[in-house]
Amino acid sequence: MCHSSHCSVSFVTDRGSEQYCTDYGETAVCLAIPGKILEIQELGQMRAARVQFGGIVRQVSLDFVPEAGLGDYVMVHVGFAISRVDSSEAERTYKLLQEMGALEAEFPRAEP
Amino acid sequence: MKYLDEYRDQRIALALAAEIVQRTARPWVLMEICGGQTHTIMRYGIDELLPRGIELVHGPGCPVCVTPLEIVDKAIELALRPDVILVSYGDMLRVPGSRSDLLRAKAQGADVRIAYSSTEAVKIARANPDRKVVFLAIGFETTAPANAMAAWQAKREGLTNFSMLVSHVLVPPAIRALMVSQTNRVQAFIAPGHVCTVVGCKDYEDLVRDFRVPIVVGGFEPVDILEAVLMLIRQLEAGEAKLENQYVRSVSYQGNLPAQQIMAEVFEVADQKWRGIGPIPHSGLRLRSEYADYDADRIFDLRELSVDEPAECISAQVLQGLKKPTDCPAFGMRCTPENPLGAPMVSTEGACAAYYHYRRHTVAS
Repeated sequence: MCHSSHCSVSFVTDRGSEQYCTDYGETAVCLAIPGKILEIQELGQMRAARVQFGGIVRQVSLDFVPEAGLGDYVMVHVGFAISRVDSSEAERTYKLLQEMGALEAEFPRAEP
Repeated sequence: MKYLDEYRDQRIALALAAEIVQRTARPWVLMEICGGQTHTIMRYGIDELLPRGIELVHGPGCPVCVTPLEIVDKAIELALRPDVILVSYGDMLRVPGSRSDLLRAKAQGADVRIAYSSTEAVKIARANPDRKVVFLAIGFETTAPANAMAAWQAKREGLTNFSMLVSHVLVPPAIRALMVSQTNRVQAFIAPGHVCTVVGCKDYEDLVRDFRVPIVVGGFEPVDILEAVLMLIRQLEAGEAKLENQYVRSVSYQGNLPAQQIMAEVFEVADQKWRGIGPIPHSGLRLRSEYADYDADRIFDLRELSVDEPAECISAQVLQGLKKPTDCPAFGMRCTPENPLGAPMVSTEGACAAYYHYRRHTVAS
């Protein structure tokens, strides 16, 4: 089933071949998942991209994120990219979180 | 997968949970608005990592759940017309109307098709000029730009056989309604990250100011939820009320401007009925008069019926965070995802479905 953020997990197959997700059994209408832009496609007036989610590749509209380019990660919702993932922000906050985890491992707190 | 796996890192999640435990001195009631967040909480047992005093109540942010019964009935009525192809997002198909659902209509011969994206509905209209294609355009602000794009495309191409049955809801008026309600217990909110990705943070700033309630815009992975809870607890314990953004990798203050532009071009704000909750002023979107030719409600002569929910279903209280799905006597017995009494048991974003998938065994024991 291709739905929610777990779409990729159940569809990962051999890495070499591209898989298009065709089982639309359930589409959660408020979820968005991050994917990587593999190729930009100009379709008449529309700008689209081939976007990879784990082992799946899908066509995604870039109408709402004209600034997104090759190699960028975009959050995708019902076939439309709604944001370009801010990689510097993501890295900065992730580092903070990691440090927190590392500190925790070194000085474990007693259970309350 | 990048931007997913690291936000499911158990070590970080446990560190955040420990920090929350340390910071929490008093009991607090927090609400996550979005059903996607509810599912993450249940799936990863995040509520069980929190101190006993912190209660997470689940909000109304499940688009399928709050789509009025009357819209489902109208969609079924349209789908059963031989000249109509009804196109819908997948999770609407099992949602019960007053007598039937779209899946059953399909089994009776109705031409009901599932689309992943609104633009597929436009494609179907192009390919079937002799049929009337109706797209069931439901959703929150996250989905509104995509649905608006379908109407915009159809108008630009001059398609005469495409229309939309619109049922769009907006989050901030619903939070406002919750806050002024006599029964409200919620002291802080995790705002929906994907809604804010589209519309930005301005409206939430207004809510913080008007109700002095802490709001953190949050993401959808376990680490996102825990970090958002920690940010809220810090505020609550310090007696502060601020708008903060946990989901910085996707949400900016002003939101997505091209998406807001197409939304404003196609839709306008209108009063809206929420399934289980009732009417909330200015809480929905309808097509602008320039798009009247694409409004299924105007094109087709549809009956305006007001229908009651099944008496046994407590989805109204569940959607307002007043009851947990497991408080319902029908839960898991007379109401299951296969045979749902109410919409929250159907949707991948519904609270009842989340409890059913991840908690029904612990509940039973």
